[in-house]
Amino acid sequence: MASLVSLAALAGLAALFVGATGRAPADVIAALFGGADAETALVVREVRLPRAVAAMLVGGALGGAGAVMQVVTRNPLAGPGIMGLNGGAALVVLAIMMVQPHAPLPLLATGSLLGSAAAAGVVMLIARTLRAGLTPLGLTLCGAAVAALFGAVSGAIVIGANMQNDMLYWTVGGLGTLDWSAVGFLALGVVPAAALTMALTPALTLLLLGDEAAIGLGQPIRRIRALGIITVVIGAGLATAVAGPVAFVGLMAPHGARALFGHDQRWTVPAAAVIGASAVQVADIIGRSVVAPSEIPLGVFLGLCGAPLLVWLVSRVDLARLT
Amino acid sequence: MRRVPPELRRLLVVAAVVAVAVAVVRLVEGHPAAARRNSRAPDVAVPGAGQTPVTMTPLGDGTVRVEHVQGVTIIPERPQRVASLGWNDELLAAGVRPAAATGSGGRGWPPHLAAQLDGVPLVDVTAGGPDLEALADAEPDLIIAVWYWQTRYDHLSAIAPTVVLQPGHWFWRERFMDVARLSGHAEPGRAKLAALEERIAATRALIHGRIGDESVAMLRIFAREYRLYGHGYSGPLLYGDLGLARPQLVDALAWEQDAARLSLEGLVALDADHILLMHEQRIPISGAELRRLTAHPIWQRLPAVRAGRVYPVADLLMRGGVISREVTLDRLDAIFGAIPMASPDGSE
Repeated sequence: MASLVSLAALAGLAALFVGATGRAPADVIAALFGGADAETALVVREVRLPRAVAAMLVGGALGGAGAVMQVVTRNPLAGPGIMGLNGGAALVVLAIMMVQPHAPLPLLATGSLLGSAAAAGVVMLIARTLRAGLTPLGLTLCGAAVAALFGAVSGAIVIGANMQNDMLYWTVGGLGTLDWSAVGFLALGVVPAAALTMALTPALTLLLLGDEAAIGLGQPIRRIRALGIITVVIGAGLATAVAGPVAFVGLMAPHGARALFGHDQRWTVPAAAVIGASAVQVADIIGRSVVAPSEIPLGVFLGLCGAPLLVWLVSRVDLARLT
Repeated sequence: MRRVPPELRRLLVVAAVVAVAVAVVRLVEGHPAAARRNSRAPDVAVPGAGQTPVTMTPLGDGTVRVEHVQGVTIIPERPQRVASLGWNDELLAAGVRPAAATGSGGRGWPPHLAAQLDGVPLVDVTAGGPDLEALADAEPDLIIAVWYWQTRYDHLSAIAPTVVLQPGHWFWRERFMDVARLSGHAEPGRAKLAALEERIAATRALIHGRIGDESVAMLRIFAREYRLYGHGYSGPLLYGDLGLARPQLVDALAWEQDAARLSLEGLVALDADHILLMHEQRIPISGAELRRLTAHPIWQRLPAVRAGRVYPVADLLMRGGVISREVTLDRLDAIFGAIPMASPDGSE
């Protein structure tokens, strides 16, 4: 774990030295401590630093949320998207843009978060009415149904109100224009969500033993599931609100974490967060340096690297089984 | 916590995957096919594309044989009902009111043509192709379509003789004259073009008198990035016809293609003396992005911003055609005409 954290820290540090405009390493260090010329100071403190922090928060939130989601739904394919979160976020953002075209960005980001929460809430409400109760399979199926429903409504709005281009602005993922206010918005939710998640991890480990065993051990499994989903909504919802849909991290990072730490969620969940943070950080660094000073979108690189890595992981360890 | 023995090997696998991914991106970005897509040179010398006009051979029976991008079509010598799939501006400029026309981006008529197109049947394209029923209802005797709709050529030809033309940033004159000749308005077309050339010369003289060799950038607010235009959109007008000086960043990044994508940090190097700041007025969220950018300290440090040489132009520079060029020239006259004649140094 220590080496993972140092890897993420190293990536975060490296991010400060890489950018569209060449800056001498000595100047970057000087800029961090208040020296350097005004332009370098501005680039390091107002562009690279917030971007590096945002990459860490977004990757960490998505990785951690993915790990929790896979345990709660006991589904190794689960990512934050499986509860219809992205679909709900997109729908609410679209609806706001339709009735209030000049909505400020913080309102849209808040709407995106509320949309994620609403989607998760609807999924949970429906799943509770199932005869089998709030089971992992029930959650997964309801999630798929709600995602499809929200997607259809969004499609109707996009076509009906001619909002294809508006939608494009929201669905393009990336960190290229983030500033401190976005980072603050992100941290405000991600940090408490992370604390809550860590408090939940012992119970999540027991949840993996199966519902009956967990109940036998005195675990309030419904409450654990609900709390787990709430942390996912806050973490993944905020990450999506700020950076747009960032593919693959939420699915891949937990598998990497399990390969290293097995099923003890006290280690696996934070490890998934750290792996997610490193992955997004590295993808962002590479995305802005291979074709510098232009950029390639974050998702492109995450997909290119993530897909083969996931196959490699799964082929080596029997990760398809969660218990 | 389980220790994993061959950590180095894992690291090597990850590094190899990342290296391959970098190679893939490099390959795609530098591939000749990508370069060709972004190139300003026409692919092949076919009539109706690039600098090659359509060839028109009168057949003596009131019809004309036309060679164009998609093949050969026999059209009437004096078409009375011309349907426009993407050539609204050019047709109106030649004095032809279309019998039916597609809108722009699914949002109806572009604002600067709305008055002239009022009452023209709108051919909807939001369903992934032109609404063929609406088109047929207009009973056109000639359809002029942009290359984009060449996949529908057979359907369109079943409705009326169809000519396909390929728009090109640098070849708007050729395409305008193609449209004017095809619609039987070659003479009004030539007169219009001659008048526009005079307008361009006048604006060119005005701007050079005010800013000399100072550079001008076209910067567009886009989703999570900024775009610096080379020869995309009005690049050929600004840097070609008007002969404006290009910022070094445009030459370094954007000139070989339509536009370069920039991040916030990429903006730092924008050395333009003047910035024409573009955003899509009809997409309100781009206005929010604009406000966010202009409030950022990185933006406020740019030389053009500090000198007060930023001109918000919304989507003015994003349209093609002849009428839109007239509108653009009017606006550029107003923008640069407001700058005092004094020498560029110490003018603030």
